[in-house]
Amino acid sequence: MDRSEAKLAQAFQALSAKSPQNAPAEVGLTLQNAFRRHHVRRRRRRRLITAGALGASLVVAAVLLSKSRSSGLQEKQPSLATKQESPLPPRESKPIVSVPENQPAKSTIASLHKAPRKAESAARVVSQFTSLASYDPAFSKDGFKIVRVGLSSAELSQMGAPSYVYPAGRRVLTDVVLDRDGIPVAVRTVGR
Amino acid sequence: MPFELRSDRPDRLMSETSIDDYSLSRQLARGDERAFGIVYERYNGPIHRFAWHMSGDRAMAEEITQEVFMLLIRKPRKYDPAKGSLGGYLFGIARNLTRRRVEQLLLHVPFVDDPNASDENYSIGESAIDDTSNALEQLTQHELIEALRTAVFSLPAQYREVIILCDLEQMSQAGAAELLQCSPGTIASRMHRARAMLKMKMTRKGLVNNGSI
Repeated sequence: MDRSEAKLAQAFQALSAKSPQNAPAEVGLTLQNAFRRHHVRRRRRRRLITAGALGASLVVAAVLLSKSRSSGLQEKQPSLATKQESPLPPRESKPIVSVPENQPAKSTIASLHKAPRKAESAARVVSQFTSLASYDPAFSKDGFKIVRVGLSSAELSQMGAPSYVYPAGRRVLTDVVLDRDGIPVAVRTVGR
Repeated sequence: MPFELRSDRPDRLMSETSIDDYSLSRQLARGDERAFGIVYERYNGPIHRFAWHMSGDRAMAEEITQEVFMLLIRKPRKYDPAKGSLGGYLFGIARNLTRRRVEQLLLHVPFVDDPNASDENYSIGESAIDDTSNALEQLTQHELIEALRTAVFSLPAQYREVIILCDLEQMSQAGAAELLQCSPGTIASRMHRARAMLKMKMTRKGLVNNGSI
């Protein structure tokens, strides 16, 4: 290295040493404040975005939930409607039960009163079954049914029930034994 | 890593200096003020000096330093550790900003000390350098520094930045090559030419000042 090179290198070192080592302190402070402000704003914006996203997802979830509920109700309603549409069996046919073949009709009918409906449990048997003219002891008792209906004395009379079975002039609750063909074969009155 | 900066603060804590650029950039993005402090402490001096030597204007150097770090504050994720060091990234920003500013300034005020000087004028041979050696030796230390500052300032930008990085900031040629995105060979040849230009310019000044011509 010649002397001029050495002097140049020396000059470079001197110039480097004379150069400011750092930017002024104000620049540092300004930047520090800018950094703080920027990130405060960024965090605030992020929180807002998060809250907004959370709110939006909650709204969407609520809408979906309400939709699913309403669709669930719609699914249930048609089934109810179909149930309503189906013809209900006549109330009178509910107590219809089959009478076993090996038991006599009277005892069978009496045993049937052991577990009547709640409403009917309060009913009191006033008379024993009285056979009607249509009853033939030779008939098979299989398939006999008892129907409890309210009948007027005239109707009972038409069926061929003797007059002592029912009080005259008013409707009475009556157990009617029907054979397989639906023909009344015996009756008894039931008081309440 | 070839890109290294001159240590301004030998008393800096080891824990601070050992934090790598990737971790620093992640912490910066999260808003860690301490990480920003470390980055600023580490790079503000070299960037400010670079901008000052490149522009020759202290106020402009401050503005450029501020802009470089503001960009880092606003868009920390723009820095990709896979592409290079954080220092290189910041220097790259500073370099672009300085060039733009100086170009704008040149539109209004020509600031080369020799109006006749151009890139072609710096095409000098070894013999010219040898002839001026004695004159250079005669300069005093203060005159030498001032002459050098002016001479560096008047160099074309591509030579100026090589001199600033390698001779003033004592960066390795490989580091400067990484920063300026050219080969180390280009850096070496630019340095050689830049030094020759500086010697010639300083000799001219020295000769004028000493009244030797």
